Amino acid sequence: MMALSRSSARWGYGLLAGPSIAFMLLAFVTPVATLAASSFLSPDKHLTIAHYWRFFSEPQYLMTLWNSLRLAFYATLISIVLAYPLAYAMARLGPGWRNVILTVTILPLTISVVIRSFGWQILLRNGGPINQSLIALGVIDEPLRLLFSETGVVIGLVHVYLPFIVLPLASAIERIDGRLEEAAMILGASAFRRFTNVILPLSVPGLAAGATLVFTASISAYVTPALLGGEQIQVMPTMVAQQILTLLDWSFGSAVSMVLTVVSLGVLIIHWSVAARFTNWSSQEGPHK
Amino acid sequence: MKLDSKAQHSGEVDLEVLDLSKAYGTSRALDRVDLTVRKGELISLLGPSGCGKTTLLRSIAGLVDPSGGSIRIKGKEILGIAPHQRNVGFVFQSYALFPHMTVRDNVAFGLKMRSERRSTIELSVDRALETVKMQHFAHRYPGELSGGQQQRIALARSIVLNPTLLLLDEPFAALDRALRDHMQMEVKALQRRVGITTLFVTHDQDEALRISDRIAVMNAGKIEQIDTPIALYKRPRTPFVLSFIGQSNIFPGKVLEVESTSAKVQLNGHVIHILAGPDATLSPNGAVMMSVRPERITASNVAPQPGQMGIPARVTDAVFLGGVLELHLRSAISDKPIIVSRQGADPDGINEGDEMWLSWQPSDVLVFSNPSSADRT
Repeated sequence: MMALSRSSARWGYGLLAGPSIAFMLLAFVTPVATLAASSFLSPDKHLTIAHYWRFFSEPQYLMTLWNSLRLAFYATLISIVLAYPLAYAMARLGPGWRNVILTVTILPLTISVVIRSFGWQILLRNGGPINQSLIALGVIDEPLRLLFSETGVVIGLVHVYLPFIVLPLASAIERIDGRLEEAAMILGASAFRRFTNVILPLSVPGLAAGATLVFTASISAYVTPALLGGEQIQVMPTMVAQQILTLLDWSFGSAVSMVLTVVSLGVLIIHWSVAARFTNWSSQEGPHK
Repeated sequence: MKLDSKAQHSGEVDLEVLDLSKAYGTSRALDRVDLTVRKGELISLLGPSGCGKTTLLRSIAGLVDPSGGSIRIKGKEILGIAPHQRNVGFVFQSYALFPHMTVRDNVAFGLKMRSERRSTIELSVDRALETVKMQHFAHRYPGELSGGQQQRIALARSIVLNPTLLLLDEPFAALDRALRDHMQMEVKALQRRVGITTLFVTHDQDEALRISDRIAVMNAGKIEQIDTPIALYKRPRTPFVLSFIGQSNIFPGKVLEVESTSAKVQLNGHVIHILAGPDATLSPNGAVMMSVRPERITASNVAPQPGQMGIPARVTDAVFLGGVLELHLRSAISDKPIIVSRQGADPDGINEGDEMWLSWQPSDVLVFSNPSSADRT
């Protein structure tokens, strides 16, 4: 990598990346700074923490934060459980399976979330195909409340964000030498213990990256909770929209979005520290690999 | 010095491979392979890549399902039995150490899977680490070890379970030259000390010659010959074995006359004598392929007396290899340069274009009566 180590070449590449970096920073900093500023302003333009005080002293608002955290947590947990078999099959079963899974996973991304959510509304409603099938099979007597419930929102979130965890997980599993599993097998590890002792710990970097993406995306999702949760399930993004668009309370809406932003950043920081702890052994490569 | 290793193994058979085949689609990775390994033996499977040697090793370990045949360990059929119930140890070319576990946890892995008592595990792991002289590295991670150290841990992880059979897949291929020579001797010494029956795969003939009790030379899914290193070198049964073990010069000739124990052969106008062994099928006017090892040919700058052997040749190169001088000569008897090696000679006084006369003893000629099979060399 002689060329890259020359400082003129490095400046060249830096210059090429410069506009994109500037664009990303601007697009991140501007709204956050605007919201942060407005969240600390009283109607008569004085500095105040009243909006935050209001948020944290009102049980209804705290319940909204709790809804957001809980739904994002469930969506992430279910995504992890669904993602492992998919990612493992993608990484290990050869190009045929890989393409099938990739297509099935990526395809939903090509359709707008709004359209998909309406699709789920049809599937999940009381007289919809899912409830009818379950009743026909005799599993249930009365339709389950799937639409406009937490279950519906979690199903929708998992469907939308599953690819975000399958792809990093598959690439993490792909990097695990298949002979490690063979070695574990010869040493007496069952399929379950090969997973818990070899695949799981070695795929933690991919798992952490994917889980962080799913969690932060789920907690800031607006369309899915709005269309599948309805009035009953209030989450942080729907509350922000309500405050700013319906009630025109910019300052309180800003304070709510700042709380959401801080939660997301907190998750990101946890991810970084977990990833650092689980990869410290892999940074020390021996002279012979 | 070659130790007489036969004394160390009894007649007890640890591994029997019978009529083993493995087909991938239409290609046959293993073609009716038979192999018997006695207790305490160190046997190498030697051959070019794709000859089936790794498939054979992986079949024994249970990582590959053979299409037909039988594998027995200590007389017990193991095909269809799970890998970890076969009581074999396997060392991978890349060592396959668990990178997220310390050396101690790597070595303890198999014992933990067997749910041994903690105190038993501690004791066995300590002993295994001591055997490979790595007791001071127990708390390191594999990534912090050199290639040779990683290999020792891979060995310790296998032998801690007291396997009947130790299987090594190209164990030295990832090491640099100096370390490889050292580790070969170390593994051989370890194998002697522990007395474990060992089968190892290599494509490197020097490596096979250095450490094996016997070598199974494989080609195209078959074992062409299995013998001691000396027997393989002196009495290769096929042209493939001849070409794979050591250097050789090959001359095509025509049989003139066959007597009870010898034959006269015409070699581009020169009549030479060869010994016709009991299994050589020579017939007058038949084609014959002869081979003479480089160190068995005498190159003299004195013309032969009438009645003496002396095939004229010209020097094209003299290569100094330290202890050995290698002369390359051109002669009408062969399309390829003839190689003659001289022990402890120096190249002074030998010039390109010098005329020399080649001779050898009839007993030094290896005879193959079917020259067509020599095309593979």
